[in-house]
Amino acid sequence: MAELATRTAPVLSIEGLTYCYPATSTPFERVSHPNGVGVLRDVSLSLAPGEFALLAGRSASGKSTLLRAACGLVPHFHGGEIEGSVRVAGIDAIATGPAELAAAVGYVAQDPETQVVSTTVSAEIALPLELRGAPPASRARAVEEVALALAIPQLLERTVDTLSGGELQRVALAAALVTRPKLILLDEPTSQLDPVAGDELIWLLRRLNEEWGVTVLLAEHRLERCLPAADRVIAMEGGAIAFDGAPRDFLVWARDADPALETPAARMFSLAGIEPLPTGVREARRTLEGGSE
Amino acid sequence: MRSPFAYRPRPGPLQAASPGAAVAYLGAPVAISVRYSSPLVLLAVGAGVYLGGSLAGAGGALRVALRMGLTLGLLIVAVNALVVDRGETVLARLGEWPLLGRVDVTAEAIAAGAVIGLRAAVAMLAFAVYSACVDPDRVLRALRPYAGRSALTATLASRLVPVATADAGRLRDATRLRGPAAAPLGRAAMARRLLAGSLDRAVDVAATLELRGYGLAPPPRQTVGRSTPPECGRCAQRSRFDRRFYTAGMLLLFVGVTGKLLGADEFSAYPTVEVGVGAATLAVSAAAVLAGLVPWRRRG
Repeated sequence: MAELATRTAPVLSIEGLTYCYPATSTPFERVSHPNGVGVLRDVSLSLAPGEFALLAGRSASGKSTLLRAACGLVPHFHGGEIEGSVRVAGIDAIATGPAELAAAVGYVAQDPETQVVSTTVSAEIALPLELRGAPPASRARAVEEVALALAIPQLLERTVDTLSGGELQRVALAAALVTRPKLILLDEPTSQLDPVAGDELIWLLRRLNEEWGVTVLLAEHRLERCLPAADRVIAMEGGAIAFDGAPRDFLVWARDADPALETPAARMFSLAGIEPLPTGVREARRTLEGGSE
Repeated sequence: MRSPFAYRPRPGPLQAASPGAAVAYLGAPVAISVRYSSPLVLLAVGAGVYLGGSLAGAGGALRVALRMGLTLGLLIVAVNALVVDRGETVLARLGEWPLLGRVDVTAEAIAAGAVIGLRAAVAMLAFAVYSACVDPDRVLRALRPYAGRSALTATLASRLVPVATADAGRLRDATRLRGPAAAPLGRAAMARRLLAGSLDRAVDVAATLELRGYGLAPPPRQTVGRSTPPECGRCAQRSRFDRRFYTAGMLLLFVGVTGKLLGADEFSAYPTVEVGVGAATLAVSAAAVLAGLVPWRRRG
């Protein structure tokens, strides 16, 4: 019974989260947060095990800050004032530092080059386990497993400075997944990738979500790429959650409430008065082909 | 794009040595260059670092660092010559300048500027050898007990060069893409943007490092069995070459301090340039050059 409760308990549970970055004082902070603030206002959400949720919103709507709060970087790394509660796999993320949380949550940011800290790919992926004192044999096994899952075993012996952006992003994802976290947070991971590499990464995430059962919270701007893979969309506006529901409902909400978040295919369908709005290009094509037959 | 300063794994004593030993070896000539003003000693220290770096296989990094160091040195000489009007040997009278007032270029000011420039060049050469020969992964591990709560420090020490190199490449590309009609981007502006960008990105790398678990307390040693000795971070860092580099660094420092006490470093820029080549100065210079042979590896 207790095991069942653990399996169904939310992987991420945020209640009444309000946060603002500290006023800038040091050069590093000025560089990190040139405007000095980034605000979350009374955010509450819960992610069930195995969900694939898409975090949508305009620039500076609080998406990145929410992800940083979920992995402990906010407030532990960035400072600032925080209220409310954040729990990841039952661990209090506000009381616990990001290093301790990292066993339960993985984080991948948008810039692939700031995601690597080691010289070779295998050392990079093994680092989280090494820092936790895992014996070499189990490290090697875990690195091999995650490399196979992400289709990068051929990269293991290469140095990170010889990798493309897409390869680097996969390596960063592998390093975030090697501790087998329950939740993986991704902050616009495709923003610096070409369209093909971006699509591959999204479908790789979907496959890991289905095969490993890892819960995914993905912040993205290019929604047309991610909506078909998502189970749920959470839209943010001014630091608060403005919408939380299914992808198709999100498209209707975006059409009425925030057209800037509409996907090109959904906008085209809206203008043409075709229902239902498609979540992706493939679905749009199927609908149009079905209509013409 | 690969930076000439980027670490490349090569078989060699300096690459095999622990980061602490490499820093002790490369830090000693830098310390001497800071304390000494004799051009002879400074040239010898520079030659020693260049020789050591070349033997360690960091020739590419050294050539780039030498170019940068000489450029910086010349800049320092020029600025010192214009700003300082001390010295008796006036080479040129340039009249009244706005802000600077009356500008007389003296041989002494040029010599004093050259000494400062030489110091800067030595520091750049030593950093080039460090960057090209010391494995940043090992630096990261070596710093962990001391910088466990400061991932940023560790990141700056181990990842700033590769991150800055990648940024420089992108900035250059962006500048080219602005087209031939756009105003050229000056080196100073490029360096300023590069520094700001690199620090910004170093903060992001530090965040990544935190998330990997860098701030966790090092795990306790575990005894698995007699046949498999416990893994020990510091033991894994050690190398049979460590003693060689620690000894060389200490000896060079000892010679430098002793030489200073015995009156080496016979140089004064003002009122007239005086350079002495006494026995102590020659001994310190010889030791500095000989220290460059330490990374030598017997072939076969």
